[in-house]
Amino acid sequence: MVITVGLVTLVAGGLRALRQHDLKLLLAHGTVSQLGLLVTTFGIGTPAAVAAGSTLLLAHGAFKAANFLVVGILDHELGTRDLRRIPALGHAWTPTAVVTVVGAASMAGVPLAFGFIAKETVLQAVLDAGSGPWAVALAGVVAGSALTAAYSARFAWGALGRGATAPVDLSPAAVRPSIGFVAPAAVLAAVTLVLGAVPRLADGLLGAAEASLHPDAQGVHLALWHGLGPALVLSALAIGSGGFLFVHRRQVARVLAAGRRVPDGGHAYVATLRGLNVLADRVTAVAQPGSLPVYAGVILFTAAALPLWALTTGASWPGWPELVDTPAHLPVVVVLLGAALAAAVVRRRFSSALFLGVTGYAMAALFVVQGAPDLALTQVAIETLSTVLFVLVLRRLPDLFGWAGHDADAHARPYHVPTPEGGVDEPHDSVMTGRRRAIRVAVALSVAASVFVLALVMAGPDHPTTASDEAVERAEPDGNGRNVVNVVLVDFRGLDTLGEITVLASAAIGTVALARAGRRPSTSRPSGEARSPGGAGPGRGSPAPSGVGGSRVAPALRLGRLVTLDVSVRVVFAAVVVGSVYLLFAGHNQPGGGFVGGILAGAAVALRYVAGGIDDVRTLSRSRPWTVLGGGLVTSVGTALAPLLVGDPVLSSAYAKVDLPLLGSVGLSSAAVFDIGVYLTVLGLALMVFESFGDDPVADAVPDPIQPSVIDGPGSVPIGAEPVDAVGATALGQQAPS
Amino acid sequence: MSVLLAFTAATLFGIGTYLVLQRKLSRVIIGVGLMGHGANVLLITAGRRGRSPVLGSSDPDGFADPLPQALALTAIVISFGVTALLLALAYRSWLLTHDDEIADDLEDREVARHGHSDAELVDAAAVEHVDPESGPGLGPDPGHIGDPATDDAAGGP
Repeated sequence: MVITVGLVTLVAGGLRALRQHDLKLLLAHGTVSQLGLLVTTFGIGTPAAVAAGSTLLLAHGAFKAANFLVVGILDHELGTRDLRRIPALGHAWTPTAVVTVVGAASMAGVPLAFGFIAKETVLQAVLDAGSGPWAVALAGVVAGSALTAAYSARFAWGALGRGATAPVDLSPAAVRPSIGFVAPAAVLAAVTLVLGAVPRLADGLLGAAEASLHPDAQGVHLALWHGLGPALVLSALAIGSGGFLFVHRRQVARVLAAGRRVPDGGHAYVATLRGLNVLADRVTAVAQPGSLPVYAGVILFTAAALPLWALTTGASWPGWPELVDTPAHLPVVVVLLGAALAAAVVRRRFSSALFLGVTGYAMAALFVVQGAPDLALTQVAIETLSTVLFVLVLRRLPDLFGWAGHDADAHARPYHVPTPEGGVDEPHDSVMTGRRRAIRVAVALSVAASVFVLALVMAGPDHPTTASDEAVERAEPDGNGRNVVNVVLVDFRGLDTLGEITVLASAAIGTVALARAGRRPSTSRPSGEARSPGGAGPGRGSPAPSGVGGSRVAPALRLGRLVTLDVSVRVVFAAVVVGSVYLLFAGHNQPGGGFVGGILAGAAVALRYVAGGIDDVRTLSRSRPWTVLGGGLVTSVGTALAPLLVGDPVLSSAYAKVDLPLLGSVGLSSAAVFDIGVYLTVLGLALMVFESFGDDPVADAVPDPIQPSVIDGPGSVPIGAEPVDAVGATALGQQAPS
Repeated sequence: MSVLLAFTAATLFGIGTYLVLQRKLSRVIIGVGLMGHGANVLLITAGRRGRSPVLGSSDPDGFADPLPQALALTAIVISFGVTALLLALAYRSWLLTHDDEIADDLEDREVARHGHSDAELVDAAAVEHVDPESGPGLGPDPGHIGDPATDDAAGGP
């Protein structure tokens, strides 16, 4: 393989060198050819071949450097490297001419130059390699050497100005190079000659090279005269053939002209680059269509299909489990699935969100049936909070899913971004709608099938529950808590919980950032509302809720607030907050915990929001929502890291019993402090969410179209047509929609 | 885990998937919520049913498996965070377009339709047209000599 590549390179480079008119290109292709010879020689692999290759490398370095220097001199003095333009050089250039001839002779392998010795050793190495396929290699090397001789002659002939057909208009004598300019090339030529005459001088150098390249090195012993062997004959043959080729250069040139049609590296490079670009375009078109449903579909289908395939082919089928575990499941499942289906098919956003809430409550019921009161509590609180959240956001959005009577599937754009395809795309899409729906249904069914099979396989054999049993056993002695789930959360798997509240904090920050980013310009609204944080917020001396007196809006408009609702909410709020704190501290021993407590506190905040709007929420605490959030995170992380100070691992828990007056013996656990952090983080999330979405929708919605900073639709939604829902009107009645 | 509950989880996932594949962000959010419920059904039914795992309230042998419960609790709270973030996205979409439709990325569609032009390719194509070799006997052609691209190719032995 290596030898084949080397031989092809040797011959092809030689042929190409013969075609060149630019001397530098001629030498460059000659170098390619010589490198082919080097690769061939080293490829043979015998110690002799390695030695021969090293010799060739040295010889090549000497003569090729000299030749390139000569080309540089010519180019510098005459302004051309084209052998058709170099004039006859004359006597003034004798030193340059000598260097040129010596370099070319060495390249051709003429005796008395070091190139001859190198070529001899190479031929000898190939001869010694054996017969059979080596004969081909030998023929190739000889042919390559002949070509080398031919282009060497061509080089000398051109460099000396014998090939000029249209010489430059310069007298060579006038631009004679200085001695110093020629000297470097002359030194190299001298090296070539000296080593050619006394090759022993290079023995040490080449022996070292051979020794480092081949384990069985035998030392190098170069000599000028190897005797009248086959190598000498072949050398002579090569030089003779080269001379013949040079003499008949016109006929050769005609033959070689055909070689121009052979594609070269440049063509291959461009073609490769083009092909790569086309391929990249195709891949991009398939892999990045820019459509979220497509991405989601591919991901979900893959996530469904692969496990399904693995489960149906790999896992042993455990048999069908019992049809119904307990009759209590039946009504729960009916409500759950009915609400889920309804959430999917209704066309109003609000209805859909409310049905999602119903599924959540049904989930809570399922948790109760399964024996998970913590989950049920959390689920109920979360679902309440989520529903309020949905209402806060959905009141902004159009009532129906579809746009202007269209089905939601046809992705008609509500805002008219100029598209290059213009209207051509639309009929295409409406034709596609049926197919898209079919694809969606297919993906959904495959996901459902995958989950179904997964659930059944999971249900099969009786899994050992050692981890769970150990958690139950060690909850009291190690975790100092009787609620095993809570102990698992804040103690055994405390690191998970730490990560979880970090995720929550990130989500909260992202929520505020997304919701407030577009609103920033509107903080300088000139409407003179008293709603600015400085006026109604924590800056006020009394934290006492006084939504009635704090606003400078005309009293008539404030009548939208129901006093009974206001007052009852305040009462309930206090009770709910106390309840949430109770859940927080009781959670270690009874159902409850930081999550439930925090969410319940958030739900209490939601109550206040419903009654008094965002101002009321802002008066609840002097701290900003992000302070609560960050404080919670810091508390939890601090509790987790504190054991490091006394040399214990992260999240080690400590427990102490303290006798307090009045309260009696109270158990203090570091896990409880951790849970307080969780509580604050979850509460902070709820506060952040209200901070994000809770602003007065009327005040926000009206200025939007005239704010330059908000990218605005072309008014395809008349603002007045937007449903101002009951919550918005009642809760935020400070400014009535006029 | 009974067939009924397996079916329940599968149906929740199926409906959720169907909704996630829509273009309206509110539907996507509801779909994600339903898939979260489905995942919780899977989690909670992976453990055995029983009494609430609170020590002292009943015999530990009859406890429901507490570990899946802890996992599901985490999942519930995380789902809430995800929902809040997605709702913020919908809110932002409303701020910008007064709708929550997820339109296709125009630039991506453009690339898919017409391909992408590459400055490097254009340069390479320009090099291609300069053939450094001219046939013998064509006469002097100094324009080809000294072309920077071919100089690079010929640099050094």
